[in-house]
Amino acid sequence: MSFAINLLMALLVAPLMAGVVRKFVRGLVHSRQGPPLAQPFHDLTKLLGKEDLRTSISFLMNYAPTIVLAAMLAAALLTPMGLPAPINAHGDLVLFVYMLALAAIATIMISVSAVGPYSMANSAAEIIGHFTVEPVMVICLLAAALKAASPTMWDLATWNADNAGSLSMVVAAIALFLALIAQVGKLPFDAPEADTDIMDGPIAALSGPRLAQFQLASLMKQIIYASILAAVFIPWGLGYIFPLNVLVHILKVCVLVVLMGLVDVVNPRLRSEQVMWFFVFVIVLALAALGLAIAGL
Amino acid sequence: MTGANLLTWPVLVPLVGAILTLILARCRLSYGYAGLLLVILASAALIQPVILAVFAGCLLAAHIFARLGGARVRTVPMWLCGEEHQYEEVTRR
Repeated sequence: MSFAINLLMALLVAPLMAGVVRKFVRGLVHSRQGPPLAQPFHDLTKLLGKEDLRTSISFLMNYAPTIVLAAMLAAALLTPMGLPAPINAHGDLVLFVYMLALAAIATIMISVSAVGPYSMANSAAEIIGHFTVEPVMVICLLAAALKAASPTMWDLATWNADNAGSLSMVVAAIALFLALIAQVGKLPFDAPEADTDIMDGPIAALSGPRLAQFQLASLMKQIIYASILAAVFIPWGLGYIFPLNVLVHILKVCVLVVLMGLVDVVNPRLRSEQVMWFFVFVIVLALAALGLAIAGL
Repeated sequence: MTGANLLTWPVLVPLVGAILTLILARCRLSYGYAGLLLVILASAALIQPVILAVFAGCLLAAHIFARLGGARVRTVPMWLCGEEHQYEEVTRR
């Protein structure tokens, strides 16, 4: 059951939530109707049918988008979404972080192996973004693992549900929420993607189905990260009976995604050094959460 | 933490692969070897059979997803936003 739920969340709810944010949040702020709710599905369908233009015969260039999507799918199967994750018994938070790292490395590979100068220029931004942002999630999850005395995601969630209000977990939740927007590459932290000024960043050389793979992976990433925050750090509703616990989880994820969309719409992009200082603050906050967890608070 | 989970600890393995790839790229060596190296290193970290099977399934699903539209593949020269000139042509003397 949880296998089907996680796949549905990753493959259907993720694009649908992007449509909701585009139509209602962005549309409301910009005072316009916005695209249809199903627009992300239309975009993906269109890209899947378009000719796949390849500028490089590199193995990495051609198969890295597949690795990105596969890593995100595996991460989705490791994420508790109202129920224990489908492969909860076989993989823990370390494997989850590993999958996210694999996706990030494959993205960097795309930009490094592309022939074009735009992609090459953006590989550095992607690397810096990954090494700055990902540690926050790792530190927050480690703090939760210390408290729960287990590395399994479901154990972290259930421990937090039973021991709500722990100071370290509150601080970790704040740090993770602050990092969440940067983790999914939205404004004001979208420097690695930088849609407007450096031609779609590391994915400038992708087209057609490979771009569809990458876009679906990006949409899934948003839902996965929001699910981690919702399940592990805002764990209310986990103990409800079957359909209710999943519905509560979807509701929490919807609220988080809409909040992220709102921040994305009303903020301009920050300069690189502003982003760095922001993340110094967030990493210190995450480390404080880890320190508090070690102190038993 | 179980013994099986311990096998998933080398999170840095693909990062090392990436750094090696960058070094090879700097040295203008083939990306193909670097890619192979990365895949081998990543596979080594995913040694737990169930996880390996799940990841293989995910790779297959991602591959099938890309083939759903039946798009044709065409190799094209890279567009560099204009014509490429030799260094001698554009250097001011």
